[in-house]
Amino acid sequence: MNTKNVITITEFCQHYDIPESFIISLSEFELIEISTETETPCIYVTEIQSIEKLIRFHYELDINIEGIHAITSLLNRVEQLQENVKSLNNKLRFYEDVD
Amino acid sequence: MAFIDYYKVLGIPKDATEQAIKKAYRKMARKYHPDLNPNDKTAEQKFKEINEANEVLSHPENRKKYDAHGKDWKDADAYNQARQQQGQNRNYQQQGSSQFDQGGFSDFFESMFGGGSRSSRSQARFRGQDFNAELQLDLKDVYTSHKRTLTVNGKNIRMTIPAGVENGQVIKITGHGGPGANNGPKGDLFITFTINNNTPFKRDKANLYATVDLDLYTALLGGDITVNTFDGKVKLTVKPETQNGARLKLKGKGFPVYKKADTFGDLFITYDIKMPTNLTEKEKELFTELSKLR
Repeated sequence: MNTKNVITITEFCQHYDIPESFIISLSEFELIEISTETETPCIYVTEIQSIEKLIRFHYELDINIEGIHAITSLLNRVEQLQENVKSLNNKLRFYEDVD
Repeated sequence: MAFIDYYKVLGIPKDATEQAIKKAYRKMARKYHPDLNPNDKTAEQKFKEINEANEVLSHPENRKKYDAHGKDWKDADAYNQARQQQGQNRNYQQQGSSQFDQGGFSDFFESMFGGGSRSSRSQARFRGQDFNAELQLDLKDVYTSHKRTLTVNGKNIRMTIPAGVENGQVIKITGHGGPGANNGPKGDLFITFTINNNTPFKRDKANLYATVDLDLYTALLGGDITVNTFDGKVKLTVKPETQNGARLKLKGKGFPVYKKADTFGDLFITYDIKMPTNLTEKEKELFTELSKLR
């Protein structure tokens, strides 16, 4: 396995100054995926950006894990709906142009 | 430079306790935080305002200064005093930048407290704010991949615009966003493309659609015609007895498929048969004769 693509939870938490239990909780709520292919639990580098967002929710906005779970689901829905709107707008442009 | 009532921004009375300020800030931040309001410029602006208000009111010294100058704001002497203060404070500017602060604090804030006198609430390193920009292009511009230099927040960024970009599509340019907090990595730049179509072709993803006029005789008897595609002309053979509205697919003559080099959609041609007008007596006679044969 390519270890360049993962970072240990310990290292990550030291860097962001957060307890490891927070990352474990995120994983228990299936908000992030923890790599089980390594000896020590790791997170995927590709997930760092979204984990940072979850850290901000918790430490800046005082939102608990249950709240983060609900917000994440809703934000995913918003994103899907925005994609749909974009696609429908493009379709509408197509028909509006018809003479 | 307009006076900003930071108490009003946070919706608290002037004698609010530190705890009440913190509570009000948290409440407002939860409502307008950019992470919770993606692509919402109004929320982003509002978040900046409440951040600024919190920055002043949550620090006793800043709050004291604000209270002193704020209440006599309309008085010219107080204004001048504040301006002098600005000159002094600028010497203490820090490079700290909130991860959601794109445009900086208001002029009012800067005049009172200097450009970057906020303190760091957390020692954790966070990546910088993601920037959003919009780029308008013509359809012909995205038919081929090309390089373009964009100016975002005063910086020139040379980027490749891949062929086949769609209207409304967002492309991420890593590391070209705002600076990180506490030496964290930079944010990303998200560019939303607006594609203007000034061509006779209509586009649906990678497929193009066009209407071609056909004269009655070619439609009835068949023949060769030349039609425009997006990248040049092609010769087509029209089958005899072609009906009005008949559709023809020119495989691979559509638009490039995004990020799939050398893969193109199709071009759909719809025939619009034009009836002859201003018929001569002889033509009328011949059409009448023809009609009797059917």
